[in-house]
Amino acid sequence: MKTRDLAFFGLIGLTGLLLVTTLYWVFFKAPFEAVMGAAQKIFYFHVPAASALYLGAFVCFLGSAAYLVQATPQRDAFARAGADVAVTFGLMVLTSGPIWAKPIWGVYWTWEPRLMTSLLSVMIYVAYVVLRAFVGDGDGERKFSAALGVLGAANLPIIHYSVQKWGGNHPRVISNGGGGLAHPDMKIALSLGFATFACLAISMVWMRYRLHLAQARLVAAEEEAASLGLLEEEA
Amino acid sequence: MDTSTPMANQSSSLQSAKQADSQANTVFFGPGQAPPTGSSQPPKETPPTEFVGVTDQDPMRNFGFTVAAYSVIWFLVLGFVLRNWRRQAALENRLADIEKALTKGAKPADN
Repeated sequence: MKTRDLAFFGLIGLTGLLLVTTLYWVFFKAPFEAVMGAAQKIFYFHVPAASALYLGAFVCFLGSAAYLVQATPQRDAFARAGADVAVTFGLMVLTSGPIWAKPIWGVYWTWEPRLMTSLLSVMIYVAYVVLRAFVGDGDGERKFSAALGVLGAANLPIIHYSVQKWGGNHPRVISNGGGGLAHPDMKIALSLGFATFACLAISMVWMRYRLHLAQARLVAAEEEAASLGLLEEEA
Repeated sequence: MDTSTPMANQSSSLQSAKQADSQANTVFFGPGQAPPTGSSQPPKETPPTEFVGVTDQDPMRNFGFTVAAYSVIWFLVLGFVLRNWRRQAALENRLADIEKALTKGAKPADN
């Protein structure tokens, strides 16, 4: 097995180990929150999922910017992998958040700044993924999606600072102005959640990068085979 | 599933609390004037900024929501990994066939 493959499967193993540890800590060590009860335990995965969304979006931004500087299949695959991961974690945030909001706010959704900006950001990355999946894989599509990947990142700081600038219902617990987590086991549970989701996001970016690179290699091989008459042209 | 809404139930009292605060400010500090720093509590409608742990709560309160949220999260992760795994395997097989065909100059097997 190659060193790179070993590192890949090692990272997946570490992610699994962290996941089990986090679940144990969240459900068996961290105490219940005074007002919200068990629903607050969603926090230990909801917030780290949001940070993983940022990570995926940042990877997409880096890959896209690098692709615009010099177009290579590797950079394009990196950007696509970031967008895929941003969409996956974005869906996690947008489903776990409303499920948490229902018992606490009384409604699943309210049109307030952080929720709006998060939804907008996820929709940008959904647009990126849909574009690449259905429109095609030509040079024009790649450049257009790279531009979308760069511009889409502009919304990330707006999500982060929306609560501070515009208020709203969304709690501000661990960022500036927040009171934090009162119990040490709550802090450990959240730290483990961040570590787990960071490893999970990196693993998923890596998985997706391998997939998109394999796709690019396959397209190149098919073109070569077709030019040699080894592939039957589809009608 | 427990659907108690502790903060939502307080919403009706928020308006009256806000009015009471407003009146207090009007009486003691004048209309539109903020009370001196450190002399007042934050407005009651401010979202929570601290999560306080307790050990004497009913552990099943709102537990259904927690289970639902965790189920969605891990369903998405599992779906992502399984779908990726299957597509990667299919791509690798197809690629191996074509590369073999390119090496030998023969037609690749149809998948």
